[in-house]
Amino acid sequence: MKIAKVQNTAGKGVVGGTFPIVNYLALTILAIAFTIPIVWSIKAAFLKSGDIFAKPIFDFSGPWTMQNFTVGLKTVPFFSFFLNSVIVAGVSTLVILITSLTAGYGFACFNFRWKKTLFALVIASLLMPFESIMIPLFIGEKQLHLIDSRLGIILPATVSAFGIFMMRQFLAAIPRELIDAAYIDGCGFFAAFRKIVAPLAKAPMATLAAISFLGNWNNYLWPLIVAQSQNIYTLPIGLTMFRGNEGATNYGYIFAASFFAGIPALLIFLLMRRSIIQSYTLTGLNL
Amino acid sequence: MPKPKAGHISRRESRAGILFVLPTMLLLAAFSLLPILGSLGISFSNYSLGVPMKFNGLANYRSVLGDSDFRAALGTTLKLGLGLALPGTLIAFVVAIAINAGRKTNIFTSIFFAPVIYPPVVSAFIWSAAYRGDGFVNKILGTNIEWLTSYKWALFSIVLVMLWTNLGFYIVISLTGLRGISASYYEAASIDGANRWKQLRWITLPLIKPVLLFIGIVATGDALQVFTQPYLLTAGGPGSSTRVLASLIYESSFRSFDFGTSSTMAMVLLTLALLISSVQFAFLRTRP
Repeated sequence: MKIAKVQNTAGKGVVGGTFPIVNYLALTILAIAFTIPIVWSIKAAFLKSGDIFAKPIFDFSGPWTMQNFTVGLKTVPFFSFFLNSVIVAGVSTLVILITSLTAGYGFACFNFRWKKTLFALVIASLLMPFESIMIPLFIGEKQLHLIDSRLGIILPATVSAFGIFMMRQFLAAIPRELIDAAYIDGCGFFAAFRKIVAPLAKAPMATLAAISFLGNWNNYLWPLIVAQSQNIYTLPIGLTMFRGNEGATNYGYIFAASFFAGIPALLIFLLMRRSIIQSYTLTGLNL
Repeated sequence: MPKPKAGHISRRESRAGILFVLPTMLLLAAFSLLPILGSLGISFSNYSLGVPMKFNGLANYRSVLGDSDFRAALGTTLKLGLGLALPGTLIAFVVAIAINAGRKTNIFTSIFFAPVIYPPVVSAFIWSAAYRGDGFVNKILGTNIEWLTSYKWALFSIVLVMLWTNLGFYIVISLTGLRGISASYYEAASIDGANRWKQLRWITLPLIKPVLLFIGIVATGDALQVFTQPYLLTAGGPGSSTRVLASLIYESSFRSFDFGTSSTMAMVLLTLALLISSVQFAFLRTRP
């Protein structure tokens, strides 16, 4: 994907040149509207239940309380949910990095029979909605007694078609001479992989790590199917335990717990926003 | 060009290539390629929990395509797709123009994109609070609407949530499209005396049209896979007016354990998704 280096003037003047202030003002208002839901929920985490819906949206005067955290989080095994999420997202991300980099290297830098067919299969699985494979995954894991285990949640997330695709695209674009130089220096294919390819791929690996972690951290449908007992609930599944019957839901507790689900996601995004956004435009898929 | 050593090297090379690809491909086979074949197979059977599996040909397909629940869910999914695609494309285009026109506007891109990566379960909680009678949506609008529980507004409310969630993604695609238009077109036009409006009308719009179509297709595809927000916000209700295809498949497989019928529905979903992505990839290939 080529992105023109010179920024063009599309729309300049129409909104920007003639009324630059109007342009910024409109964007700012829309941006505030966009952030209201998240900001409001973070504020609610630090308010007493009675104040959450009573206070005006832009009223940030408090009184603040930590009760939702000190009391609310203890009403469920919250720490266990958090830990499970860290384990599930962390382990699957680590394995995805390895499986994507090795396969990406194989597809980008070697020739072998069936290569095109195999890569076509990677693309095909990139396009499959999860809903179309979840039933056999469930049946298979049931037979292997993996249902209701952390391993059962992690396993299908150890390989990412997007990761393979992304690494192949990146490695196919690096100059061949870099790898050939390693061969000339007496490196075998595996030494070249370790000494040249892996260090070169640091940047896309970091991006892939961020995207994979976010995807598995946020995932709801698959853990919902696999996790049946509380002690292996991930955070998104555990959060739904805070929901009471109509009217009985304590939103202070919910948003205190949500804080620990949302803030890590936002932090990862803030750190890597440029490359995360770019990867979304790579395939045009909502990852 | 076959050099004397090439044959030898390429055999070693081919073996190494296969070794690098094989472990990952085995995992991919186990967790995505075989399951899709499994779904296909089960879709021709009466498989469900505790019943001996028997193949029944096209019986599931006949009953699913005639089933009113399925048709309703398909209709709801398409409405959601349309509700995402049309306003999504339009708003994304206008916002992208505004972002592209100003300097130091990258921060806006990041702000609009944040909901894309925000946990959907959390966003579902936020919106279920926001749509309450005393929630901030009614407060801002000065209304007293039952957003999630009335037939009139429930699906619309879900569409709004999904627009909030995905708009940043569509804006980013629009921006990539806008930045891909060569600056020389605008220079030539301004030399010829075309004002900014004319440039927008006669240069930007024709050149960005394929990108906007692309966003429309992406948004329709997104609607096919939406599950978490509608499932948690309305659980398909009131009635089944907000039950999307993904929810129906989930419920019929993991509540009723009717794997045969659910797999058939999953195959219909897959067919639609592949249709959409084939158009999508054709676009990616022809994009300027």
